[in-house]
Amino acid sequence: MRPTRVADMDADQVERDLAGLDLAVTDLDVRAPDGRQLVGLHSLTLAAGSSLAIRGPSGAGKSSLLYALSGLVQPRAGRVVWGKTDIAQLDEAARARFRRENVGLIFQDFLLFEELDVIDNASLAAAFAPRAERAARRRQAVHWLDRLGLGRAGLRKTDSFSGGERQRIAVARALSGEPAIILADEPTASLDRASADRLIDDLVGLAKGAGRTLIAVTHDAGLAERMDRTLTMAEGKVVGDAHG
Amino acid sequence: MDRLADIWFGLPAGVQDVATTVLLLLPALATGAIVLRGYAPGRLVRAMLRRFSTANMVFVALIAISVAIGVGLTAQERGLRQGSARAAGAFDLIIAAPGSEITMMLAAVYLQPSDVPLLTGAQYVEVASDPDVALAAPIAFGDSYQGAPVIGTTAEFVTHLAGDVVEGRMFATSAEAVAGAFAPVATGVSFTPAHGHGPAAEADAHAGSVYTVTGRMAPTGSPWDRAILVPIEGVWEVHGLANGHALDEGDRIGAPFDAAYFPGTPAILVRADALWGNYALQSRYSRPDMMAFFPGAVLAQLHGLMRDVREAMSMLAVVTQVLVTVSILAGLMILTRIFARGLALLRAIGATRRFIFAVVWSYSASLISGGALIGLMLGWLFAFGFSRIVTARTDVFVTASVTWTEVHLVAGFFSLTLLLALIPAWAATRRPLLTDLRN
Amino acid sequence: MRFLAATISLAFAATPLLAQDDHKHLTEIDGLRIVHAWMPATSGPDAMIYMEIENGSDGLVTLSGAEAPDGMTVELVGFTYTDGVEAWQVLPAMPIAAGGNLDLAPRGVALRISGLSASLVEGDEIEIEVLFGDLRLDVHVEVEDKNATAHGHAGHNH
Repeated sequence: MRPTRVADMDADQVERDLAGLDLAVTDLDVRAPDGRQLVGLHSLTLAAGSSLAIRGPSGAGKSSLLYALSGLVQPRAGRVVWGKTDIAQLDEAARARFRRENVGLIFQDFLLFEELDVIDNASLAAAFAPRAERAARRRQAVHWLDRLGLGRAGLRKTDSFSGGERQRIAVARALSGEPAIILADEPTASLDRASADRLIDDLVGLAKGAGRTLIAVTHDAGLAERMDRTLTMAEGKVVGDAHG
Repeated sequence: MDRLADIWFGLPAGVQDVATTVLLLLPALATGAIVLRGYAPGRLVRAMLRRFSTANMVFVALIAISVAIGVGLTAQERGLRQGSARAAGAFDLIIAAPGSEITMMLAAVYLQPSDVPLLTGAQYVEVASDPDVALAAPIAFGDSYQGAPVIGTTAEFVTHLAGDVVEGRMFATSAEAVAGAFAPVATGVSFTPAHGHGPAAEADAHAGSVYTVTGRMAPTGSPWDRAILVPIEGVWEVHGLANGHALDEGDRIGAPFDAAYFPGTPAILVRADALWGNYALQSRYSRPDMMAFFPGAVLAQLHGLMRDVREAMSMLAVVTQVLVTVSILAGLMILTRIFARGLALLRAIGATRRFIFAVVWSYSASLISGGALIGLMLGWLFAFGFSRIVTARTDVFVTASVTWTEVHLVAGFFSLTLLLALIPAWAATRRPLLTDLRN
Repeated sequence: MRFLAATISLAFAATPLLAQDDHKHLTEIDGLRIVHAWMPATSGPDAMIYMEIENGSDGLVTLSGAEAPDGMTVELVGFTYTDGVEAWQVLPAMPIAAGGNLDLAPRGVALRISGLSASLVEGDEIEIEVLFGDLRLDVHVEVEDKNATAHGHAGHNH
């Protein structure tokens, strides 16, 4: 069967998809290169605009699930359907394009380019976005930096910032493409309590306000309790699913 | 194909040079245009350059030095070749007693001391009175003063070599002298020549004989600039010989000379007015009792013998540059591992492999471009500095300049290495994304 | 055609005066001798031809050039070395006094032949007419190695 590619979709389809992407995962099987199963998930659905925390001990497969949902990991089997697009069926370039257009990623240790200034970091994707989108990407990056209280920091190099500030720059980077989906991997794990609380407020507020889907892998109870739903994993399987 | 060749050879040299440069740069420019199409990796590349600025500077310096050595060597070699040819420019045809042309050329043109047999008065007069000969100047070397050769000749030769004297006046008696442009004597001073040259010179051999400097010659860019020129009569008189003229001629100096009173001369500079004249004279006086040769032709032959060495040298210079660049590209492959996490992040947020390829290639290309440009400039400085040393040591005026030859060399190197830079760029795209991201 | 006619007319008219040895190294008319005509092997359309000319006649002769068949041209040229660049300048006619000689040799004087349509290899031979005003001498030019500096028989006394 020929895979559905974002590139193949007509403009209406893409626009409708961007308006909100429901998630439907079925029979997901993610394996390590040595064949060990990292995630085995029979079914998971998530409505567009809702939020989900994924919890569980180390090695439970939380990050592997998150990366499979973002298309960074190609599952051995199963479907990961965002809106109408099964990203498990896309080739690598199409998955990269899907992420560029629909997904904002946030990592535990920020992953900023120390030698770039704040705006360049926040608008990193402008460098490989189509020429017509570059200016808008930079404008959006500046806008989100402003919303996150870093409006005056634009031309400073990132190495002078605290952990909390850095993670907010990373959030601005994730939002600069106006994604429908935000995927965060332990976003507060490197932060002190006060910074973590502020980040949680920002992240949850900005996601919910714009109707974005937010999925976060976290050990942070403070973050988990602000989410609509919490999935608990152990040894690659879902062992708990709590709403509210 | 022939038509294309005809068009090419019909172009002015300048246009050919520019076109060659463009053709040599074309692979690099085309690669750049294809690799970078649709992307703006400039900020990221600058960030990468800043990230390991010391290592990057070392890479640029290594490329620059290897390019500079190549550029400097070829420019210097050409400068030396041109300088030595220019220094021989005034010496149309040399006639001397049979022997080694090279030895005679070194002695008569470059004033390197040498013991050579002499031409007789009869031989000199035969040449001087040849109707095709416009100038036949004896050149008598062997004496020196404070390391500067003292050469006996005629006023016509002085004018032929350097034009009118720029200071004072031409020598008018056998006890007067004109100094080369940089000879260690001032106008107005008197000196006693030593017999011979260097440490073996006998300072007292000519005691009692004195020349007075009456003028100074314009610079010629040849070893003659350090020489002191005296009437050949003076040289003969200093050695206690007849002075080329019958006694009843008094103190007259210069041509014509009387064969019966002519003690001999190591060499005669000959020139003809007719375009064909020098060639005819060369044929005419190449005979068992004399040799006639063009210093330019001997020099061309020497330079021709060195051509293979020169080509090997150019080849080695290019190979060295490429080897240095290859080792630097290997270094870059290691360095890109350190960037691997940043590159993985780019892919995670939606960059394609082609963008990663563009970033890493641009990074390598920046180092290579910087190194090549700085190398071209350093090479020029190197050649310039070395020329001054050679000029100071040999008195052959050497001007080494960077010409299209060097630009072509660097352009070729640039294109070749930018193509080689595709390898580390490709390697950077083959890295495992998730491993790098979590590392 | 003119060349052929000239060759034939010379061959008949001048037979008693024209002598060529077995090796065709030598051409002589009225004491004017050309020996050891040679050229290096070629790859392009131009080449230099060298020879030894001895004027054994009673009068002055003037080397004015040469002619070659099939649209090829020959001119008299002299070697120059200016600023380290080798070049050949075109020379007008060159007089050779009675009893005198002129050696055409590498980095001296040469006859430059242009318009060669095929490359010549060692052992080939071409024929040209060397002109001394109205006097024409047929000369067989032997092709030597491309790096040769003299005729293979140079030094022999023909």
